[in-house]
Amino acid sequence: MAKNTKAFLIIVFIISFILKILRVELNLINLPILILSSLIPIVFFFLIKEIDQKSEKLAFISTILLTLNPYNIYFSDITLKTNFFLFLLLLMMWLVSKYFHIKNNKFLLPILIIIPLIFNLIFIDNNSGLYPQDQHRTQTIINETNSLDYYIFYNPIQLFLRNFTIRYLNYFSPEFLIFGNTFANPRHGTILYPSIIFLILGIFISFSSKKKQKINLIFLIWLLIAPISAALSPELINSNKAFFMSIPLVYFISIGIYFILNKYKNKLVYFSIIFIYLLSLIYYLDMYLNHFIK
Amino acid sequence: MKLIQKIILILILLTAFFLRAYKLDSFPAINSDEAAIGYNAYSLLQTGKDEHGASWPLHFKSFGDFKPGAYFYLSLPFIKVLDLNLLTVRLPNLILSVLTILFIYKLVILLTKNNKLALISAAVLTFSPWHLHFSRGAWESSVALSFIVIGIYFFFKSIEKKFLLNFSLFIIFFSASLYTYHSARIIAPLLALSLFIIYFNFIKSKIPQIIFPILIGVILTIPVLFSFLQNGGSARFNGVGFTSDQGPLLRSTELLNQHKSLNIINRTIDNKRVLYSISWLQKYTSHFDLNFLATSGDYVPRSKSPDIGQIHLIDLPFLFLGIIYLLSSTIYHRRSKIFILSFLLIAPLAASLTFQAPSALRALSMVIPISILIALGIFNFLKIIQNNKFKNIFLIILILIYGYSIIYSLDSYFLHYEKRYPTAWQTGFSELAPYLEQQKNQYQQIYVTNKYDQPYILFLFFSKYPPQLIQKEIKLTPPDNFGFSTVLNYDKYHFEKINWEKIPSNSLVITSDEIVPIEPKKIINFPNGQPGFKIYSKL
Repeated sequence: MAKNTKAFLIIVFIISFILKILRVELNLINLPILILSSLIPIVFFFLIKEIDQKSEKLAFISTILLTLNPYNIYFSDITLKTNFFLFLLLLMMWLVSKYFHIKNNKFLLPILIIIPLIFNLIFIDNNSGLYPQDQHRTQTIINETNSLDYYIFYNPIQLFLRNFTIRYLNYFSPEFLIFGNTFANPRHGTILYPSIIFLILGIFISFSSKKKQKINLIFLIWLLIAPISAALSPELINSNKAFFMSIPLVYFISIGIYFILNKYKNKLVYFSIIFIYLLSLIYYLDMYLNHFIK
Repeated sequence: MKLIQKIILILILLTAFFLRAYKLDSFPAINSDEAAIGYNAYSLLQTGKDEHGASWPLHFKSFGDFKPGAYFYLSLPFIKVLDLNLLTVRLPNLILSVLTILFIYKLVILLTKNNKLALISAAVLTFSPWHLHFSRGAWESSVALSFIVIGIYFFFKSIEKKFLLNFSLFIIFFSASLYTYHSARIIAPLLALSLFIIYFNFIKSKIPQIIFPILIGVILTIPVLFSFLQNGGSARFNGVGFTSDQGPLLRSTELLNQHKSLNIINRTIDNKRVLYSISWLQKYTSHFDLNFLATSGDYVPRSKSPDIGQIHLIDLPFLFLGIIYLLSSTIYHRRSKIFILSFLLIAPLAASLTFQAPSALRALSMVIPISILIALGIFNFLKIIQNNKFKNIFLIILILIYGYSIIYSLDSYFLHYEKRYPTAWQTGFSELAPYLEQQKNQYQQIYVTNKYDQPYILFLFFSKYPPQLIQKEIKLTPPDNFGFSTVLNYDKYHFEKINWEKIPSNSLVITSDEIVPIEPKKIINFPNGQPGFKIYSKL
């Protein structure tokens, strides 16, 4: 590993750690989770580097974004289980990619798709699928038409699917992603404001060119399956259960930024992106550190 | 075009017409804006003046909201020939919304030369719950959209041939949209600007010829601009604009108060301007919320059917596939691609500038780029499965899912809508008004609850009250917080919150849910069986 990369990773760890202790008391109980969650961006760096071996640029961008991502900053200091499993998931994916890349095996793709799917199952609990029942609704529909209409269009299976879909799509709403009114952290969404543009750009760019489509597909499937267990929970939003989606989100945001930086290779673009991210980060940290608990 | 394609197009248009015309004379009930359009047009035909006595205005004062006049004038010939009724008020939108479907077909053909894709685009718009909803009723927004789509078609046509004629038509239709709906005054100029920027080289090459159509545009636009400014246009924006929302202001104060001491960073970040900007962004992006689009739709009952989104849920994957295919394929020319995406981004701008967002009504023009993209996704899907050995199975599944979705949305609209949201439209007035007219001579006064929106105009509409009389009697109340006024009384009618004790003897009293100590003389029920109006006789 190059000296610069080592230095970069150490800085990432330190920044990540500092961001956490700004709000959480540093003691022996909190220490393991703080260290573990600060290691997540580093493992992510190795995973992206392994996936995209031609350039380290994407890995650098992804790592910086993950370190400064509101979703990860907020959740990195409160839930050991979530962080432990995310760390484990990234570690497994990195090791599997490393092993199969060496062997150049055709099973790499399906395995990398299955791993996040299995990890997603961890969050399925006894409450999953038990959406609040509304008996009044059933009677209203029957009164409006008849029982046949109810059984064709509003039956319990249809109602379950509707409840699930509404909850599932909530995790892709602007409110959840950027504004945060539905998020556990009430002052901000899961990603920084400018990221929404790069996220949309990243997703559509990933699939409109044939380059690296398979790898992008892994992250797209990951993004699509990550909110499933959360969408099965009775609450309209359960950010904790959907935490794994922070990784594909950051990946596609990085792809978007990477695309812009490669397309417009001038300093103005670099500094503009850094500047708007800096402003957005200051805004988030103000919300997180000064207003959240108040 | 092959014969089979012609037949399919005709079938699509006939289906579109049938879905939009079915029971249009009575369903949905009526709303006060429709009654205002109809009665003012009727008044113009009878007296040459609107209800307030203004001669042939460009903006109709109506409830003090100064409605753009185009729809009023479009309904004139129908009311003249077929008399004043709900159908004649709705006919202009019915015809133009079917024309929108024809023109989306023609537009896609013009841009792609692909008949199959054009037919799919027309079919998607035909069955779009969003477009269907706003095609049924005197919605100015839908008519403005028709003008915009026809205008866009002529712009692209002008690139191909007969520049002067087609470009002039583009200018005329875009200008017409400005006379039709407030939101179009933001959308249409921005769309025109985006077309000029995207096709800058083409426009530049036509500089000498472009002067005449632009001049037409300026001449057509100046009156609407002056009329808008003279008739309280800015006041209207202050009433419904996003700055009328006090939320960001209060939040800014709350955030600033949470700091022990204020420095330049706090003052900047928690500034009300920053929070209003975020609030605007929130309103703008809410139009791209997938639940708004695919599962729940608008929050306003008048603009939505129960339990459905603005598009079918099954449209959603095709929408994404369509965007990816748009970016990666050459089926649309590069500039057309940029225009379709610009259209999608411009369409919710006007809606985002108001306090109520997302708004399916004000952002109705989103339905065009969205339908084009969904159609592209379906087209691409059909292409992908073309050589698959399970092609027919995929096709049957697709048809079944779409069939189910379409019937589900029609079921929601035609069978559940009016019963679930009985007060979203002014249900019951069509029965109440003729009944009161019959009873009128037996009482000195008639007191009607003001619970439902602008009741006076509904009575004027259904009773065809002589316009020359109302022009003398009408008196608007001062505007409320949203800039709307109303009429509290005319003839024997009084519109107010019913207080039984204060009502004089020999009066007919119409209540909604107010408590009255005697049994009602008659009850008019809502479609869901709940009482809508209770009629009492106070002797």
